[in-house]
Amino acid sequence: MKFSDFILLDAINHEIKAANKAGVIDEMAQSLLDAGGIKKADKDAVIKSIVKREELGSTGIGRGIAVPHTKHSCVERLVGCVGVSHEGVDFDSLDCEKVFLFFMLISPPDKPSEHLRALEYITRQLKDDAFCRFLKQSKTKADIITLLEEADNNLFGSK
Amino acid sequence: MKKLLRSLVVPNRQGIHARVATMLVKKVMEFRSAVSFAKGRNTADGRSVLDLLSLGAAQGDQLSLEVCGDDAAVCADALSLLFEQRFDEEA
Repeated sequence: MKFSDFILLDAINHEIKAANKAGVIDEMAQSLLDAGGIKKADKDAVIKSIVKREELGSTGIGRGIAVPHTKHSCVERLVGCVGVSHEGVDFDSLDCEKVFLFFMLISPPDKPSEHLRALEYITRQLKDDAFCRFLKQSKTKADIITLLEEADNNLFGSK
Repeated sequence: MKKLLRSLVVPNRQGIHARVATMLVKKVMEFRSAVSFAKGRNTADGRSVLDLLSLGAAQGDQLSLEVCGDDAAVCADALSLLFEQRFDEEA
């Protein structure tokens, strides 16, 4: 599994504007919609499902990273997007720190292994401090695309 | 300083995903011992959700639990129990 297998490049947001958790989820879901990852008719249901998942426990996993996600039958394959907030957002993270890097994942309900492998891949890259730092410093969508390509070419991450 | 090693098998269909990793980390935080989970050559700090997710531990995978500290025995028991209870998820 690589970023190129599930991240929709058109849904990458180098400048999250939302200042709270609900706003980030809405903004990223809109990016997925705009990129064709989900349909307009499904957007509200997807958001509701992600919020419901967050109520079970925040996906803010520490170190300024969150992976809001849900399983939803509106997608036939795993789709994801990346969002970077330069101000940081309170996401009820485990370590109580603000979140700067967001990876949103929507996966089909019947494929738990795909979701798990995507989480594995994302977190392996994020364990690399340089990858995290460069991602936080991204100024444009192109910067992020280049970083993801470099990650896919094994420049970062724990092997 | 006590050091305990245990072998655990991931019991649930969805594997060690975010909610389960968070559950494990919260349990580890209740103890003073140092905790690590290893899958093959990869080792994860038991206090890091990021680390645990990076193992990509799926159902049936074998994990080596290492607990080191004065409360190692109760800590290892508590973590083993979560696996036995399948993290309150389906098989």
